[in-house]
Amino acid sequence: MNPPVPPPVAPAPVAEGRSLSRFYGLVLGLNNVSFAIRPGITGIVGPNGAGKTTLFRLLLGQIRPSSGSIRVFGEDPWTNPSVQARLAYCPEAETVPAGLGSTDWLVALGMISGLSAAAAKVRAGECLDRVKLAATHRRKPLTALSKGMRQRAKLAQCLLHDPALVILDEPMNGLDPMGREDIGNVLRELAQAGCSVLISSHILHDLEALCAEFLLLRWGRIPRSLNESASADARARWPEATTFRCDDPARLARFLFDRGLLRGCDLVPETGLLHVRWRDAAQFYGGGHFHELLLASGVRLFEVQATDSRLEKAIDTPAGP
Amino acid sequence: MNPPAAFSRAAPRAAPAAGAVFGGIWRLTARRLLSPRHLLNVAGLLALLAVLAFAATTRSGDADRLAAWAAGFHACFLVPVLAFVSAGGAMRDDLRADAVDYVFTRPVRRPVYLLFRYLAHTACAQLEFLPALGVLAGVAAWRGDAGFAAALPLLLLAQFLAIVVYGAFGLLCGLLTSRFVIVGLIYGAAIEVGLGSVPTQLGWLSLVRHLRGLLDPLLLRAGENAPGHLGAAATIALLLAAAAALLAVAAALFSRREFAGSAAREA
Repeated sequence: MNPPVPPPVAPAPVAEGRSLSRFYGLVLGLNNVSFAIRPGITGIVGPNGAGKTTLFRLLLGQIRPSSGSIRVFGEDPWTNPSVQARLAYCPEAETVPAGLGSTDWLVALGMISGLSAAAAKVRAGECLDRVKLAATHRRKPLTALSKGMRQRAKLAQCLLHDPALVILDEPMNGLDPMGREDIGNVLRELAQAGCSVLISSHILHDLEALCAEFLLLRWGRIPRSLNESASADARARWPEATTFRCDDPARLARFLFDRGLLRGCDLVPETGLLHVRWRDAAQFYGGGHFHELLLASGVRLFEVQATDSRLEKAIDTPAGP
Repeated sequence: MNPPAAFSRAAPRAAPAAGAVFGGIWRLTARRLLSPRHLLNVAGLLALLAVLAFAATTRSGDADRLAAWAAGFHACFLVPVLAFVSAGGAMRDDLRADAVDYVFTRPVRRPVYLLFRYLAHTACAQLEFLPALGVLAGVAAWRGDAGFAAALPLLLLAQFLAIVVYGAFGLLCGLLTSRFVIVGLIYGAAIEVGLGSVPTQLGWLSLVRHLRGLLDPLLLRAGENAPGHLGAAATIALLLAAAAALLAVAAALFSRREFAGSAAREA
């Protein structure tokens, strides 16, 4: 007789908050939230003013809670060097020091993290290689770089000291699709190497492609029902609607209807757009053969974009208990 | 997908070596303060100083007055004001929302950061102000003031101390408020001009008064009155102690400071 298989144990949380609140005078930042952030990539989603940056600053130890408690790696993060040594942060704002090139900047920050000058220089080069910032751009002042290049440099400074938790506030802003893919790959590599990643973004499709779990914030609170709906069954989190831009949207619609995949569709022939609502999205996306199916349609495709995801639905749903 | 093979591991350090931390802060400070653009501004100020020095001695018709002018205007007014504004501005820029995030999320204790930032900034400021004495010496040579060379060591000492003490004061004010110039103006009017010119015990609060005490030999040579002052060694000790006290207050405040970004401003 085989011994009973123990139930899977959830990994210990990297960070957790209990009844956490933070107010700025009369302004609400976070209001009585409890959460646990587990290893892997966790997305933080919410409208502007929902409390995302407040949560980040609490995790980084830059502000203290008004009430409740927060632990990162089991310790209080407030100005705690042993926590900060394992953290990295990429802020949303584009403020970077004037008069410095990206290599110089990274070397200086690496030294502040404790690397010797020589080690920091080697490490800066490795990090800039990893985020694919071209060598020709590394000597240019940071302020002269394009928004996308600056985002890469900002991500590179997060990698300098091999952190265990990387917190990224809107890292995809200003990046082209290739750049978003590059950054996504770096984050996946980090997660596979055991680093936890906490990322906020308004580009929900990118988040859905990256994250295993989500934390939804609204008006400084974490509505439990929405979080369960957003994070549940991540493997089957397919978009319920998709937009195609192609040379013959009517033909593509007929092709998909004939296979019983669609619940409905809208055609915009002038712009070559076809908006489809899936009968069972997993049937189209889940098998991994959707690209073969689309090729079989014989229609020339220019763009495929998911337009109605579970994450979007969760955000749009009025908050329950 | 595994990380690229070339990407090495760097062990996180909870207590980085002080030398490495200072090296990093020095790089961030020096690259900004000794940048070509900034040095161009310094060159402009030096040219202005030369014109003022030339004009001041021309008007008096007495080339020997240059040392006294340098002691009164350069060492006791211009250097303190510029050192205050420069240090206050540096601190304000460091604490700008989102600029803080790259440094203060690293494992460096805030009082240590403040001390190293002050040392790096003061060293750069000393380097930037050194050519000013060269400019004044040049004007003196042009004017045929052979005695100015003898006044240079004292002027150098006063300049050094002014940068040290007013840099610390600027740092503290820049930490307290982004409108540190207003605080400086109020302080200048109330303490330096007001109390400093009153021959009472309260006049000791004026830092310029102590600087003037140190420069007495130069000011007296031009016939200025000298109120009772401490000896040179005591004045130097007092000014250094004042700088240390200002830094200690700044470090204590800085340790408790929260960086809430724009959210705090909205409140």
